[in-house]
Amino acid sequence: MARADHVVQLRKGVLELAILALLRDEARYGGEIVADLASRRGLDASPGTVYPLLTRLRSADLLSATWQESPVGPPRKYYSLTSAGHKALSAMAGSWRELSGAVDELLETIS
Amino acid sequence: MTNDDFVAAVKAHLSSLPAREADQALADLQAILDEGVDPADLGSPEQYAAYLTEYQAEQPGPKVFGVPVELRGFTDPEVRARIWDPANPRIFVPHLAGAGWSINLGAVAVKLGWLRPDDFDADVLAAIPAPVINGVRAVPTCLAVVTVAASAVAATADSVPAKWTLTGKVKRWSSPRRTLLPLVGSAIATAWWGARPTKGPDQLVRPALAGGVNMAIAGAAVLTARAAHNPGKRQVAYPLLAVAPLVTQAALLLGPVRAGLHAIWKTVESS
Repeated sequence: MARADHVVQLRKGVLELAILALLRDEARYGGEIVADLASRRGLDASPGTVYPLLTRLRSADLLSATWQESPVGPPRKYYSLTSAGHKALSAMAGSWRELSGAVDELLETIS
Repeated sequence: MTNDDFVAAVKAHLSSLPAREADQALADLQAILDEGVDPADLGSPEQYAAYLTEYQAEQPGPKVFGVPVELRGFTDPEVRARIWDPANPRIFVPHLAGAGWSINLGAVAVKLGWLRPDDFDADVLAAIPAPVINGVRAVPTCLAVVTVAASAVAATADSVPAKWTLTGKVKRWSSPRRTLLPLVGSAIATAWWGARPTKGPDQLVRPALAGGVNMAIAGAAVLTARAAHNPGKRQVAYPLLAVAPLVTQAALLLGPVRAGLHAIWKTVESS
């Protein structure tokens, strides 16, 4: 696998975790998720990256979607976590903390 | 659940994968389990099978000199679904059969602002009124009828166009039977294929593809009939045959999806 592919795969995994975390407390629509990610340094992603991830998370039953009225334009699709999504978020968050802690520790020894 | 039970249960959920890929995936799974991995750590058999299917779908297909080559062919619903995938931002996707690219009309609709990337899903598909779905399925057959009628008119002439210039002038003439029979045969076969029952997004994609093909065939038959009875006249509509399939497919896909969306929006707004 080329190095660029590693980066893409790593980023995809991180974005999935970020999307689940964004939806932990409240439902959001696609455009809102894209804008929220864009406002966080290092997590900005194009709609072309975010929407396929939303589709994938939904088909894995980690997200559910409901249509809600919008103050501007037609109704929007709002995404929220399913109970499986909450469980996956907890598991992924635990793995992420463990992994990032271990990597931070390693990097400290390098610097 | 024993290792063998787990592998058997995963296998039962891999029907959408080609046999060779499914066998390879199951052999890899068996190897993992033989190394002592507990099946419980892999999730349920359904989840693991879904992961394998998704993984295989994400693998880039073969390429020749950088040009993607599709070996499964357009008979696979997953391959056909590429022409209508609004969530995928890529407009050019690997061709449905052979080498080259096809156009993802879903991405085009999103770029033009006619749809949002997440507007098309199972709920929207289910909300499309039945007469609209049935209408889309009937289009290839109606166009086959047009082809047969136009061919019958053309067949009354002594000879019909067999080769055209790009601007719609006849380059070569031939006997009606030799030219018209392949047109009629192709239109009927395509109509039969397009009307066959199918599931999921393919309920729209299959008849849309068939409708696009039959629009080109019907257009060719109509122009053939016109030219056969007006031999000296250039058929100015001839170049339109090049874009007719794409425009027909776009209309047969976008129209029903918009109808489904409006049905859902109406329910949301009224509640």
